[in-house]
Amino acid sequence: MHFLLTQYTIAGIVVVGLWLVVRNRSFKLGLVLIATLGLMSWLLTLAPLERPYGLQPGTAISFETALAASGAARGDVLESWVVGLRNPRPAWSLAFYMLSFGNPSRARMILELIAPLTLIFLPIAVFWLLRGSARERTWLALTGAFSAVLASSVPLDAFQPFSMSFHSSFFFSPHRPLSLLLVILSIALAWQSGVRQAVFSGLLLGIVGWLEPILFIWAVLVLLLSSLLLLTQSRNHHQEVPWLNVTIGIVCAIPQMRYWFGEYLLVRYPSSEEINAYRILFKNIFAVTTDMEWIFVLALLALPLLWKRGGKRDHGILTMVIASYLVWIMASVLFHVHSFPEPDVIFYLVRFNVALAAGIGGFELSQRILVHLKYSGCVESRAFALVLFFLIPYSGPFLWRPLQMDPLYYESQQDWDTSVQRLEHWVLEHTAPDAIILTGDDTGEWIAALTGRRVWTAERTLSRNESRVRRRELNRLFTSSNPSKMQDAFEATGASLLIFDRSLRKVYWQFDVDKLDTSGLFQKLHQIGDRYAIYGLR
Amino acid sequence: MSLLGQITADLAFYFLLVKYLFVFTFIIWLVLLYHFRRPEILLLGAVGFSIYTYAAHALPLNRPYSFRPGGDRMVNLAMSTTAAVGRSPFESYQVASADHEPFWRFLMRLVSFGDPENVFFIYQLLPALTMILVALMLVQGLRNKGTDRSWEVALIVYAVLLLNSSPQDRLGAFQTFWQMTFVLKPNHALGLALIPLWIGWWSHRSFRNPNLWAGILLGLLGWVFLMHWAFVFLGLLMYPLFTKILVGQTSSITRVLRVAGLSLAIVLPYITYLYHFFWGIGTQIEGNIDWPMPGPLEGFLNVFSVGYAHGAIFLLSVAGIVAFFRRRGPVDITLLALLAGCFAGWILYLFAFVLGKAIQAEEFYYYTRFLLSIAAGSGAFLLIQKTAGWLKPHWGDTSSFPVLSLCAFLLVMLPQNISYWWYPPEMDRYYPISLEPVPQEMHQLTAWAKNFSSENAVFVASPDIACWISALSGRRVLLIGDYRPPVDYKERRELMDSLLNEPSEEMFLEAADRFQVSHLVLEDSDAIPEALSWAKIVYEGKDLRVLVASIPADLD
Repeated sequence: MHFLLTQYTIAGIVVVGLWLVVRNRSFKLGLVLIATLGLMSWLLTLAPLERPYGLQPGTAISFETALAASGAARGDVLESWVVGLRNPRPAWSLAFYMLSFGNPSRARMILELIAPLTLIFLPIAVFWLLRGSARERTWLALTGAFSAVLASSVPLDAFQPFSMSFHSSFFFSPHRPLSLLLVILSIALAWQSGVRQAVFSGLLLGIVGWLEPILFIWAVLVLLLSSLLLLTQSRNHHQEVPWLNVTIGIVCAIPQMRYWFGEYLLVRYPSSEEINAYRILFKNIFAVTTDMEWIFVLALLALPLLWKRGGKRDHGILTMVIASYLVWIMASVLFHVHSFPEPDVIFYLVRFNVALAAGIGGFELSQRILVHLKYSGCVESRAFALVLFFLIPYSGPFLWRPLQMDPLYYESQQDWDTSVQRLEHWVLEHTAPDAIILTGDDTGEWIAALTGRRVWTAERTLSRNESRVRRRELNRLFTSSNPSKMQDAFEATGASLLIFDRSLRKVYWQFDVDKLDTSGLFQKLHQIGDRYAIYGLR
Repeated sequence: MSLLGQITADLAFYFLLVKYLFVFTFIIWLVLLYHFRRPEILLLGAVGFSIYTYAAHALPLNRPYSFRPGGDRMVNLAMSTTAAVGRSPFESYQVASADHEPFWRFLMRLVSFGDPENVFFIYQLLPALTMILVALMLVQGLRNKGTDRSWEVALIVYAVLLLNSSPQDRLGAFQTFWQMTFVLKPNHALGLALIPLWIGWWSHRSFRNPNLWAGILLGLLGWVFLMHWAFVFLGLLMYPLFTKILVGQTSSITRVLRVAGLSLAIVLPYITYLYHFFWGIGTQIEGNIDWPMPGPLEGFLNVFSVGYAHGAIFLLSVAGIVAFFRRRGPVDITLLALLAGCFAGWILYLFAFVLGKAIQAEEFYYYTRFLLSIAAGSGAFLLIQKTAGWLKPHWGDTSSFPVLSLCAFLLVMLPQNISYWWYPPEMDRYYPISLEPVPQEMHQLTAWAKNFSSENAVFVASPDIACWISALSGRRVLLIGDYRPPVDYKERRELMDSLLNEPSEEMFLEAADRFQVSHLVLEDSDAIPEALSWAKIVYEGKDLRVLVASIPADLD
């Protein structure tokens, strides 16, 4: 019944909102309506949860929370929460360090606020991008903003290897809509003339490079391709090529790009489950075409129109769609040649761009229908209302049934394990923010996400090779009969605490944990139920 | 493993292949349609793609679809195989009890030529056969006298077979119409096939005495599937209202009363029979009926689930309803009355929920979707005609029917076709179990029962085993659990529990006397105590033993 209530609420807001928009012919009300729809979805689903949505070991949100919390706890944003692993999103950790004033618990709260904030600001940014200063494009831009932000999900998403675009982007990986917001602002600035705008655009682009490299690549492609397209079509060689912003962006992002392409992309392997899902996805051209149903059909309608109109923004939107498919092709090739760890980012990127084009296609079609019906009055506002009415059943807020689609949602409704909470309090009270803790994978992720402390684990985000080396060191620690060798092995990790948890017990079941105490090397500092035994060096 | 076996073993790859093949064939079909410009090609394509989807769905299965203890399909097969071996259509697979669907048993007995094996073969073909039958009946029933509606009817067939559902069904209160009606319950699809035929007979008055034949056909529908009869009956009562509003006639009341009365007279014996044998027995069973989540009440309160949530298909249905109102032909008025009957039924069901009497809510949902699909076909026809003007100047489409617009429409609707999006491993809850082969033990036991026990034999076994025995061998059982309980359910349950847990000679003889029980199936051979010296083991499997009393040798 909760879902039913959500659907009725969304439908009610749509009816009242559209009536007000059409009656007052106010695009600002339209923007409020789009933001309200997104916010209502968040309010009715995530806000009532007792604990942060999806926060548990092994999930993307947990990884992002750990990055945010470790960024907040320490100043060193180049290192991830796993000791020895470079931070794939330093800008993310830096932002949390600055915003949370060094408090990891505050970082968690800020992270939860990103979803509603992006649901408000992303439609505004897309609207600005599509409209610029041209008032005649107001309603078209509004429709595009609605479609891109809220209608990029379709019913078939529930059966794709990746989760539904809307909830997965806004609720599950909040750094993505944030990156998208920055990149949209960067492109919007680039499409305006002026050196100052170009510098700002370049700087934003650079930040995106440190936050979500795939979006950075896409944005660079969009900026260059759209200029190229204008040059080719108009044969006007005085067209501006955004060299300044692209150069600033690339210069700013180079160090992170080198790491990303050099180590992260080509070394970090996806899990076997991911590989199986992606293998099918990359062979399944329907996933990024006709599986999008009406979104794809309407986008196909929009593309020739955009080409024909030939304005700067029209070509820009066209290249946004083309560039997202080019990035998809690049990822497919990389995946088949070597590896590609995060294809879901591209999957959502394609959805976003196709949905944006669909909004424009839908708007043009609706306008023609209204003209055909010889409707007199404000055709534009009605066309917006028609598209919204047609696409709402395909929109994220209307479609997302968390209890049925998302096992994590169900788990997020349950109370937290008290032993995890006790562990969090103990670690926060008894360790320094820069402490390193040696523990099992799951506990490590809990500790990093809840306290911001770094952990030494043979964690799953490490490359296979690194993981193997760490397992060997763990073997030395837990299978050695010589106390001095054990001490050497422990000190080599740089850790000051050892938390022996269930996952370590499962692997080293022959290891007598009391040996740690009796060896004279370690002393037991605390015990939490039968789940965690905490040891420190004597 | 053969190549086909290897392909079907990797389901994700297999269904991707099926999808590619569909899209490829679909495009060829559009080219043919554009080239030949004949509604028959549209019709053949609609039926062909629906059958193709069923064949693709069924190919990887290792047992009859949804064939599991307590499941609807297994009970249905038990009903049919016991009829095939010659039992009365009125007698259930549970000895000395009545059956819910005597017409279906009669039909199965007729077409299986007395062999339960044939029943399985027929069941494999039934979905495809009912798809063809529904298409034929739609063509026969909805065509207009005098005017050529062949394109519209072909579009209706296309909508009913391929656009009847959307992927959202998987997430709603009720499962997908296409799968639940054609694949899982072809007996219900048979009922749906009769509805358009009835619409035709009722609307066109083709016969000398049209009211008589319409009444008889409606009565027959009641025997085929009573709920469909009730839904149509409700719609029929709405008919005078629409003739008054749309064409200003008031004379239809008498006609409606005659046809409704005649059909009621034909169905009444069946209703009496059901009332006599089944009324109130649900209260004997502990526990609740396993409704599909998230519950039919939500399904009914959620008006989106039947309409708006289906997006474009629903909008086409609305366009179709508008077309019915504007045309006001006899078929249009009948369809409007039936749709109004749906609305009335909807409200009645809500009341029934409050009273706790709403049964098989999903059937009402599927009936509504069936009618809305018909409306969607007419809506599509209207849309194609309206948009023809847009394409004509550009493409010079000068034929009587705008085939180019039709092809554009079909292309745009490609992702909405069930053949495109149907992915049973994740959308069909019965699919995983259907991929597993029938347990070897059950195969052996039922093969023995079929070959070495009399057709009159009656087995007592735990509910999970009794289902298999009845469905695979056509032998009757004492009870198969609480799925379709007989009137004396409690008594049988106690007797069955006693015989299975603490079997005694007296009890067995009592069961033999009262229910003609001849065989007792015990699961754990170690548990057979010495006290069972009165019985002899006639079948010994890995974990199962079948016993008969040694005294009444004439039983077997």
